[in-house]
Amino acid sequence: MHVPDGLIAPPVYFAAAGLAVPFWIVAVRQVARTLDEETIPRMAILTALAFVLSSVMIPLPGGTSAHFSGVGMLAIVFGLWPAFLAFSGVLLLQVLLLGMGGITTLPITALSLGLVGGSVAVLLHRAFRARNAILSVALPVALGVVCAAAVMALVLGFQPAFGSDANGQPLYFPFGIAVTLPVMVLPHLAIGAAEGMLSVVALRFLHRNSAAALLDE
Amino acid sequence: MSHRVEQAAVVLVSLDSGPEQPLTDAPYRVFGPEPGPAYSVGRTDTRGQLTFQPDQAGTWRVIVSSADGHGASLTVEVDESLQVPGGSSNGPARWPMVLAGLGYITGLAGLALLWKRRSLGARP
Repeated sequence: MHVPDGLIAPPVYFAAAGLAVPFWIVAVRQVARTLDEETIPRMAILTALAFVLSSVMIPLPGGTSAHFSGVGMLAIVFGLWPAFLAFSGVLLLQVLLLGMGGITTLPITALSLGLVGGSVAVLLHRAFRARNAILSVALPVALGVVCAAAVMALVLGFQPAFGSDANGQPLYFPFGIAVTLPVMVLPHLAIGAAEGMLSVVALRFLHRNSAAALLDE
Repeated sequence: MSHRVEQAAVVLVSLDSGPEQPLTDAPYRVFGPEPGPAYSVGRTDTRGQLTFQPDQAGTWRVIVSSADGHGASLTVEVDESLQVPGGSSNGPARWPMVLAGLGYITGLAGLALLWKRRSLGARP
């Protein structure tokens, strides 16, 4: 879902930036208050994993591709605001280093994947915390991915409404919601399920190798 | 309608989302150096390629989008002879840049640890 520059109308990306900036400020304050010497290295490891996961494109039938995000995993372990901030940093590095996505579209991607995806994962994890790993980790992560994809599909699908040029060509992203919703949501059902299971494996590894677990040995 | 078929020099842009994954049938728009509507529109072919024949020198812009939101927004520098000298691609190989990104994340974590230790040490 790394949308390049030029596909989103300026009113939309300006509004997204206006919405994202206060959330980033809240996230920075929350992170400064809550992170400590034990959680900073763990967060760096999971942020690095999210960076690698979201940089690898998985080919899908039909000539398109998708990728994992790692946001759900970050949100479940560290909470929504650290995950949102860390994933925003991942998106910025991907724009600057890999040319994945655009600067104007970064707030939109951060809000959809980082905030919406992270919120869904955190809320569902809290609701199912006492259950098994599938319900408390895999399902929240998977649904977070699907909800993020749905939000991006809606944002992209509304772009044709922002006008056409003199030749009748859409000024921005040319596909409507009837196309973007199924094209984006359906593959992300599978991507979300796979990322959910991957998150279970990663978090179990992290828990087994945490300082507390090592001290217990 | 009359027509003419001839060989011509064009700018060729190739797009893919990975090895053996050309970006096929994706809508594209080509904009010339001057502001205005799209100079050329179409869809990428089965090899993930599009072509256009520039009519003036300057910075041309190509925007390609697939239905899932992926795509590319790139610039093409056309010289006075309406050529694209040397061609271009989007930067160094991916994996060295991924390693660079991991380096930045590690470095930022180190700075965060340093800041945390100083802020803890500064408290009475």
